[in-house]
Amino acid sequence: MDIRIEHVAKSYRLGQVDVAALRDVSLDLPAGDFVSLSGPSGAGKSTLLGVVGGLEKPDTGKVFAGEQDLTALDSEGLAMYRRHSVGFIFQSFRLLPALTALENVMVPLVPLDESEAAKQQQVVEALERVNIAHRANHLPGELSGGEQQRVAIARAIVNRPDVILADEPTGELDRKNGELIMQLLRELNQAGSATIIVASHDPDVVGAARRQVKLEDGCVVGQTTQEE
Amino acid sequence: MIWSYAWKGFARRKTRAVLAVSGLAISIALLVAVATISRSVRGAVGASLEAAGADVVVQKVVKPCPWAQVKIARDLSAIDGTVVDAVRKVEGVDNTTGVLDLWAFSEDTETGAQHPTVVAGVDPRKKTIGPARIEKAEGEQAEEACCAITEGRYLLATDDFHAMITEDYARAKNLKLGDRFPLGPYSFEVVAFLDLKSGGHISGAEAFIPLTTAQRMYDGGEVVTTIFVSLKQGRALPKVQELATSLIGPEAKVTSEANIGEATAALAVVTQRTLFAISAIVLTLVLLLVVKTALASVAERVAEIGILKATGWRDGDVSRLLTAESLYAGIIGGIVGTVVGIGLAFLYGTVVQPALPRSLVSYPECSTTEAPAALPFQATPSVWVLVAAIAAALVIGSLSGWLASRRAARMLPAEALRQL
Repeated sequence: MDIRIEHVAKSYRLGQVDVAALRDVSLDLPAGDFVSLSGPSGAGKSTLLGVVGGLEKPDTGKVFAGEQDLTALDSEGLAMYRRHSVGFIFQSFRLLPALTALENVMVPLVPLDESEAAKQQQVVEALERVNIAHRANHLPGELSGGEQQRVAIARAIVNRPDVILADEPTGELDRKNGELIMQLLRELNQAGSATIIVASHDPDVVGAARRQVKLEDGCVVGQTTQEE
Repeated sequence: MIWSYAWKGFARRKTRAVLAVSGLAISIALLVAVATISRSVRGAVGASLEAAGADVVVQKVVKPCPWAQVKIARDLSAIDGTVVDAVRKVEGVDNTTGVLDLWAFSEDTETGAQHPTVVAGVDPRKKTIGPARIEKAEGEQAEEACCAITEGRYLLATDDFHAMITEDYARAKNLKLGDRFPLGPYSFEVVAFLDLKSGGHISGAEAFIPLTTAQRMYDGGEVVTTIFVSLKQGRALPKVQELATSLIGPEAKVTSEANIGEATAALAVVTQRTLFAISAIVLTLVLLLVVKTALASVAERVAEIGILKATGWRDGDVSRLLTAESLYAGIIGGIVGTVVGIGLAFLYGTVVQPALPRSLVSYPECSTTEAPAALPFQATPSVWVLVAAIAAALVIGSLSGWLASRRAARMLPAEALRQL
């Protein structure tokens, strides 16, 4: 699914002051691309992920996912877009502590009108894809950081999304686990047509992406594309 | 699937689940227990009226009169016998009978002290109503009769100094059929043994003698102390009350199922109105507690709600989840509370023994046999109380879930995730 961002601006109210998070950002991200968003804290990386993922609407500008104008959708429409087209990976895994790995991966499928068996099958496949199926019945507290992030990735891909959005996916992992997670994201990108957008200030993570977008103070200040 | 997901979430957050369920369960248990005890005591007291085949009992209550060898029992006073006939003529009244409750003192052969026997003068023709009722009236659906003759015969209209005595009294006095025994200065022949079945007996006595004989013993003319009235129509009750007050005066005491419970020394003093007031207060407090808990739960679960929304849950899905969790608390709280409430009511029955109001019991403290005042308490919860208890728990659960889900629905996913 192609992502097209046209002149997007977004600001937040911080006390009495409006803080601009994104200023006139435009980007074209073709389907299947592997993109990194880099820049210092406050550059607007997470906000841009949120806008592309339909978590929030820009103040101005347009965001298209395929032919769909996300800025024209209401909260219900955005929820359906996230349900069918988007997978999120967060820095601190954001697994639900009371649920097992399997149940955490099941979360995006819970509201779907599919049979329990079909959902179970999808979850097992997702866990197998990230090599964590053997820990399916463990609670997050019983898993290492790397294992938890694998579960989080399985949760992000269980609905077979068109776009996977990862916000500092290696931020809480050691170097070795960080490399494993990035390797996994590359494999997922190569194995399917999902567009992967990773926000990070880690040079190794940024360098793993095919296209690198640099943000500063809410603006795109540079783009580079690696040759295969 | 949201229901099973909700159950997992509910069951695994043990502390919050226990708090929500126990708050509801305690209040529901309280309501069920109070309602069940009140109903059961009222039922037991009402059964004593039914056992006598009556709906209303009319008496005249005064300060006890001085001692006499034959005197009216307790604090009762004589009512002219014509009142019995006047009440019978009230529209809607089915049957009446007058009883003269007496204490007859006789000399104890061993100690020489004067000892009272509780005597009830009854109309031998009235076997279907009164304290010695042995038969049901035609077509009557009421409880079993209060008494049964185990040996001998019922009093006859031609009897004079003849008595039916209770089995307990016969044992205590070592009396057999045909024996003679003293009641005050008179000697009576035992013609029957009566089994006073368990339960409270209004105007219960140790010896039942013909009413006319009792009136001669008392030497006060054709008087009675207690009038038993059975009604064809419940609406006749106010007319009976009005007539009794006008004929007897302000000391008239009219007892019916409607007010008999209030005078019973037990939790039955909890009248219907009091019960509703307690219920309303308790339910309001519980509602506030449960709503506060549910809203606190939303505040604590911002992260989870943010993740659910990020993964494609719609506002309605999140609402259903929170409502389902609250309903689980409501269902479990309601069931646990109901079971505990019934258990408490049973426990009450074993600890506290409710008894008939003293004015309806003719026995003195020093009677030969034990006064038949104890009410057979059996905790019988009303189906309606159980339905209402479960419904209240479900309504509270739904309402708190709905309020919580409204707050959760207003939460924007990006903001929820930023709060982590």
